[in-house]
Amino acid sequence: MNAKVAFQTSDYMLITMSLMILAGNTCYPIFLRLIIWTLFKILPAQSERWHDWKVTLRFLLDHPRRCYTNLFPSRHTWWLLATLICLNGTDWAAFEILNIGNPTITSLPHGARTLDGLFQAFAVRSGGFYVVPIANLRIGLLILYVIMMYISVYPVVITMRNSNVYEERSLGIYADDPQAQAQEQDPANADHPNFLHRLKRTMTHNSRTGTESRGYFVRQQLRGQLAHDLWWIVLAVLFITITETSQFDRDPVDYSVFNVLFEVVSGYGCVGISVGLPNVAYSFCGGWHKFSKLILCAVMIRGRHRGLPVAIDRAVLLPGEYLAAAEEEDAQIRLDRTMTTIARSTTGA
Amino acid sequence: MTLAGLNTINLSQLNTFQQFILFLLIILGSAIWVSIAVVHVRRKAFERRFKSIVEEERQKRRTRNRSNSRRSSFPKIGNHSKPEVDGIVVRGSVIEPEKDLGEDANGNVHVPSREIGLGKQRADDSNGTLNVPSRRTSRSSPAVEEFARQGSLGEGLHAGSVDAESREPRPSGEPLSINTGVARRITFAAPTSPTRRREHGRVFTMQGIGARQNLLNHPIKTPPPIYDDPPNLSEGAGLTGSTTRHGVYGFMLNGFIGRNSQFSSLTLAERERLGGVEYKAVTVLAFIVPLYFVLWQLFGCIGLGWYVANNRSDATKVNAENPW
Repeated sequence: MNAKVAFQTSDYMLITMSLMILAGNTCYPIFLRLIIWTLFKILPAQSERWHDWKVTLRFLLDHPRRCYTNLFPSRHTWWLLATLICLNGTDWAAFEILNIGNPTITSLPHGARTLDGLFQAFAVRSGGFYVVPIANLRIGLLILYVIMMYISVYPVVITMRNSNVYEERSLGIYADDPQAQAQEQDPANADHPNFLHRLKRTMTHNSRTGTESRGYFVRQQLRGQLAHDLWWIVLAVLFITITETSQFDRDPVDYSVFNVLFEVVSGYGCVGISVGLPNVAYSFCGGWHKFSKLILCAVMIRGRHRGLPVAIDRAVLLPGEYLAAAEEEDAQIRLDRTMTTIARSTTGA
Repeated sequence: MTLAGLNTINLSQLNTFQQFILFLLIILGSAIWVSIAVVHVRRKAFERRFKSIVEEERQKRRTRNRSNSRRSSFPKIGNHSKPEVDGIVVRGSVIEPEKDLGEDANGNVHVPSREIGLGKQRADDSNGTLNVPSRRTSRSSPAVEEFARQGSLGEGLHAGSVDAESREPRPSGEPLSINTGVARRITFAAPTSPTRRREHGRVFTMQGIGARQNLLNHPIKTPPPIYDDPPNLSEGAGLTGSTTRHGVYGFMLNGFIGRNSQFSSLTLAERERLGGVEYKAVTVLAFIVPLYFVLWQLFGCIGLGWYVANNRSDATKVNAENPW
């Protein structure tokens, strides 16, 4: 949204803004969990007055998804952090590497260049600022940015969907009940305690049911989300390019299809960086016809709703007896299915 | 408001009021702000619910005193406000040994026919009464003894031990008895199918994933469970002697925590307690999240404003812009 080109070399500003971009968006669950964990640690352990709060904070740390959509259990939070580092690291490295020999960038001093790269990496995920004119970057980097903008919201959203209390209900797939499985495997393996046998059982079991692993659920969520998103972008690009035909004929370089795609993905991912137009201080879409702008508005609104939790997320449902009923029913269903599968496999095997 | 940062006009040329409006919209559209609203609504809902729970408790205590005489004929299934105990079709028939089968005085029990793998042995006592070992908690042991007195149950009945978590030895005659370690079974008043309709493609419905209004799997459509509510439950008797699990949350929780923080096999009292803890957690969040939101903005803006004023005073006003 804002060209910070004037601030290319001001380190304090870049660092502060990077932190704020992170804190407001992708790193928010991480920071929140860090704050709650710190509070938990600094409260005195044995004091009577704080005992209640300590218990509450413990519950919040252990079962966050029962209370809030954007706070995740420990394992998920670590995974989120790893994804963050990975994606931003890739962005940063690509910025430095792919811009070797690019005069716009090489004109900057070294320190500023690295910091700008880092800032741009943060900003491309959700900040929407640019410290270097985007249009002058190498095309490979721009394609990478398109990919990054598209998947910008995925780490948090997939984690949110995957840690949903009623995830199985929302997908219609149930994991296996761990206690029932453990029971079943124990007597059968009493005389074959070696690792290989157990591994073989687990793997055949997996392949038959295919519903156990957490990875399976993540893949299901990913598949649903990816398939869901693509159509909006494709149709939007189609209609916008049709509308902008006259401008394209007049100036194919600035109104290229790729620039339109960049703009649409930027809007859909709610990122907001833009290749811009030469000699003007606003985004590329400022030069479009009204109808195209309306389409982009619709895309932005739709894109904003990507990060919402599922309708039957426990953290957004109002409390009531039906929630307890649903949990009991889920446990029941899971148990039934596990029993069915075990029985089937023992009779079949 | 969508926090996409595309702008079609030169922002520096807007006057202050317009910039302020933009700023306000950005704040309102922020994900954190929206979640603050959600947290506050839930907190209010919790408070309303607690008021109604207190009312219900009072009513229950009144009716419980009245209906105590009816208790002897229904030893197992509690909740006497639901008179259809006899006709219940109980799900989860595979878990024969631990199931709560409603049994009226004639020993008629409705059992669904999907007996998988366990076959015939379930109820085959010579006298046709049920071989139901109970692995209940200490709370239900008076009920079990009553049951034993009633029917002529054979060797299969193991009286409920005090220890809730002990795995009962398998009753004789069971070919494959799967001890799932479940302390109690919660039954349902109406049968439900395990899978309702899968969500099919939602591409053209313009709704988000899982955002359907007519979700068939919505928890609100779950039939209400029937908790075992044994008559002689008093707080002290229930809590002493049973192994405590999850005592770290301040109360005894003898259920199971499944994947994704699902709690199962809890009694009604424990559910209420859990609700209390959740309410406190939501309150804490309702305090922390707005604080987080405001403080980051405040300190960030002040820091940047100070920096710009000191070092780059020729730039446009920074305070109207913010990163999210």
